[in-house]
Amino acid sequence: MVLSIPISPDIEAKLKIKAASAGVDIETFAAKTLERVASRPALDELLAPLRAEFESSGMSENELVDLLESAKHEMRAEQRARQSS
Amino acid sequence: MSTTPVIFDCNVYLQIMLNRRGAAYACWEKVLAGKADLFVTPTILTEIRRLPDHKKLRRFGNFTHERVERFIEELLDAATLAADPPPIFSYSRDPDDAHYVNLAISTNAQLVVSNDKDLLDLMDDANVDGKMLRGAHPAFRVVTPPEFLKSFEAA
Repeated sequence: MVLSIPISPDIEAKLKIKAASAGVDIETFAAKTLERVASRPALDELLAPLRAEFESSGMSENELVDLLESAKHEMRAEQRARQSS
Repeated sequence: MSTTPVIFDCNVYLQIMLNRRGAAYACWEKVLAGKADLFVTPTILTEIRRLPDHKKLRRFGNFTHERVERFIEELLDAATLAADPPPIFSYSRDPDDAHYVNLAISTNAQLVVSNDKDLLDLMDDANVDGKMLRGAHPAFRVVTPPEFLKSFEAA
């Protein structure tokens, strides 16, 4: 299968740089990137058990935010304490 | 098509992973649709990797390293990986929050999406650090995920 996809000059320039650093031409780089993305498992599929776990917890979005913020601040405080000791 | 350059707080990424029905996930959809131009740094990726290991989040047994790494893979496809920014701004209330502010300034995104009260309070004139910051960078903003979504409705 041959794809023809319009891309902006900005993206073309970025792709050329990435292809050059990978040592391949832009067509090969684009094809390899598409192959890599297509062959890996879908993210939503992989995260489904985690999301199901959250749903079954009965937590609201606001409760989740509070939990995450609390964990983040504790994690950072612990990290700072480790660095200063 | 104009895109909005933006920085997400590390916890916005955890919300995206945990809850597909929340406002944070809707923000992620804006990124995937090419409507928002997202920037991340090695420091932000480190926070995303470390947080699921915190004791308070161990209740989610499915928050595995494999899932987080797979999410980061997708994130790096969708976002621009920037170098950790120079420390232009410092914030005594939470020194680690300054990283997000400095990234927003150095990338000229000027916009941070967060639920962190310390960051959100930078928009309050009663916050001296925030007032000075916005004096030097008038376009700088911190908004919650629902507020970020509203900016697309208004556009």
